[in-house]
Amino acid sequence: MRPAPARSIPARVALLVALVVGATAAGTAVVSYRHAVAEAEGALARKGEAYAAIAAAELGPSPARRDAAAAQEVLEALAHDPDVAEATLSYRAGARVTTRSEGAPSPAGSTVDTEIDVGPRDGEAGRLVVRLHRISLEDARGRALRASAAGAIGVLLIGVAAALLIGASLRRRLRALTRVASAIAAGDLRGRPVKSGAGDEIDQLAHAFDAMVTRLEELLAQQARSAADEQVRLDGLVRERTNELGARHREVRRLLDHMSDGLFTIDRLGRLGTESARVLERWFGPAEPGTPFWRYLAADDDGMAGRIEMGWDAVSTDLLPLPMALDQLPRFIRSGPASLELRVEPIDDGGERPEQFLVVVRDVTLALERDAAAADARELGAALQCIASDRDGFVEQLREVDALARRVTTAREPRPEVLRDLHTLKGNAAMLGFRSVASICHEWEDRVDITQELPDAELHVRLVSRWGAIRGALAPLIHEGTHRTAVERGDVERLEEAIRAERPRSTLLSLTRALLMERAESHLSRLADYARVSAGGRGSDVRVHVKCDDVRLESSAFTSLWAALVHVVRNALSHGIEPPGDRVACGKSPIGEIRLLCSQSSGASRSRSPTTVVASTGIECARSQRGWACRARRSTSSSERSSHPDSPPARR
Amino acid sequence: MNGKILVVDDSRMIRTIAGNALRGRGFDVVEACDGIDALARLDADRDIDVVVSDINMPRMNGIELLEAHVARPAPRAPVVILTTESEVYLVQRARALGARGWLFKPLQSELLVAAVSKLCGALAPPSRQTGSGS
Repeated sequence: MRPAPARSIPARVALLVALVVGATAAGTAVVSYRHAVAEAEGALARKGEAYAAIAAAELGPSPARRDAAAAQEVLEALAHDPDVAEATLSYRAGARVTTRSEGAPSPAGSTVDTEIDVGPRDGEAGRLVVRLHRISLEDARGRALRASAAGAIGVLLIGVAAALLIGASLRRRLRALTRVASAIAAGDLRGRPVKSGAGDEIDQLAHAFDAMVTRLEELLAQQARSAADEQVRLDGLVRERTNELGARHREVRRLLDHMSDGLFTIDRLGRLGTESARVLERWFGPAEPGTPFWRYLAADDDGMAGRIEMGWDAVSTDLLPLPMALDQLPRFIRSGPASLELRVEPIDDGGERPEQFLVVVRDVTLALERDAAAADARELGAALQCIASDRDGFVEQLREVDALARRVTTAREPRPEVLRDLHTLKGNAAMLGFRSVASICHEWEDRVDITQELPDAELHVRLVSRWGAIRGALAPLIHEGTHRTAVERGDVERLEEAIRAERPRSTLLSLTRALLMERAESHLSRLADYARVSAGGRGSDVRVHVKCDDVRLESSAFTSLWAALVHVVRNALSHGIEPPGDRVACGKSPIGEIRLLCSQSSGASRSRSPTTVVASTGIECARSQRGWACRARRSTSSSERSSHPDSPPARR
Repeated sequence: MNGKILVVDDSRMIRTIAGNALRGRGFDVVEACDGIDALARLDADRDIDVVVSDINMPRMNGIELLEAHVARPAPRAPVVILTTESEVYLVQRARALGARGWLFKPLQSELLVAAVSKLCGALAPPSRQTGSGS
């Protein structure tokens, strides 16, 4: 509720003055009216007395000396005065002379009577009564009332005018003070209150106000000087700090411009910060602050952008513990030919959870190429070692890997035989030292296992190109197209002795053909090496026994067997031999055993040619208490056997 | 028991790996071989806390399962999707349908356990403070 508007002080003063003047004027008017009425009444009484005295004198010392007519004349002379209503001379004897003025007789109470005795004591005395109209008295009263009222009104008007003048003067001076005070409140100290020189309270207030403003001006000036000094000091500090920050910023900028790693920060929503290393522009273009970092890092690769975004979603939604969620992000991205390593680290700002993250992008192209070159060198070195020790065996395995890789990379469906080939390819590649190929096969197996589909083109291309590179590097080392057979000295000596002894031609041919056979033991020894190496890679130890009884076979026979043998050895290692700890717990030696056997028999092939034998190759591993066992046995096709009693053991 | 988890995958091997990992950490595990099976399990058992589902499955895949699941009356168990890196678009779709998270295959047991533990922890009602007085 709004308060009623306050009546201004000048208005109050004017009202007060008007009231006082009005009251005074009214009092004065009443007094003067009464005085005037009293004066009129006195004058009327005096007039009656004067008329009575004059009439008495005219009537003489004795009324008898005069007649009634004369008395009547005297009285009528009085009646000429309009104020005289009636004049009556009454004698004690009863005579009575009366005269009246014209007009209606005066009612009782409307006259003023003056009585006087006339005549000597000894003569006939009478009594004269002069009756005057009160009309003149009423007129005098009216005049007095009007005069008093007019005077009071005049005084009141003068008082009101004076009050208005006083109020206006007060208002003007107070308003002048108010204007100055308002200007000061608004910050303008230039104005000064007008001093009237009257010396009254308002004038004193104006002087005090003036003094106050002057003092205030001085204080403000002093404050302004202090503020200016402080401003100068602060400006200096700010300039100094700005210079320091500028220097630091330039230093950081220089660092960011010249460092080889791409650094930038992101917030919890994955949006880029304002600063970033310049090298990033070379890879991804200018960094626009606020852009999601997956869009920046993989603008042309929706798949990669989606993977990063999904990975980051796990971070921002707190689905996983932070280190695990960060570990889910892709580790490598590409920019043209460059391979880039991506690392995201939380920035600890003391909060409950990090709100800022540092993203580090590092060009690892050369490092990867170096690693690849080193891996190539290692793989080639391992291959050279194999070639040096057993070139033919190596070539044999190489051809099988070739065939496996061809079948795997041309397969259209993940049929069981394709998966078996893939598994064998992995094992053979590992055995030959081609870990890169084995790794791709492993990844391929994982993908197939998960999706039940052949992997995407990327893995396919990697396998083809990697295996192609290895084959290309090995081609000049193994002189493919030529076939060499290692001939043992004893075999040559036996042939030589048969020639000297002039053995039959068929015997000599048989001995000559035997030179082209290969010992099964050399192949199985390679398998044994593979088993030992593989077992070492699995953290276990294995003892491999090879027993072949000097069985010899054509190299092509092993080509068809090799994949199965490798598979069985690997299964033996994976499923047939317990981990060392389990073996010890079962009371067995921590070292497992595998026996690789190759034997020959001739009875099974009687229906065939007399020279046919059956070579049986098998693998046995020690039976454990947990029921693990594996046994692979395979009989190969028939082979010619020398009919000569001195011919060497069957070589098939 | 930490919670009841429904593992949905047509691969018995994945179900076994995931189930073993979760049981080993004290979770009760229910298995389903596809989306239809999973919905039946969800209808039969209202105590399932988290659903871990593959995407590629016969009869009803993970996305269809998610669509059917979000149409069910609340409260609904949160769903974690198992997928491969090549199926990002499916993950995004699953995310839009309300999947709470996803894990890439090959399945890493510790990630699965961490994600499920977090979701179960988030589902758990706040522990009530018990005073020593009255």
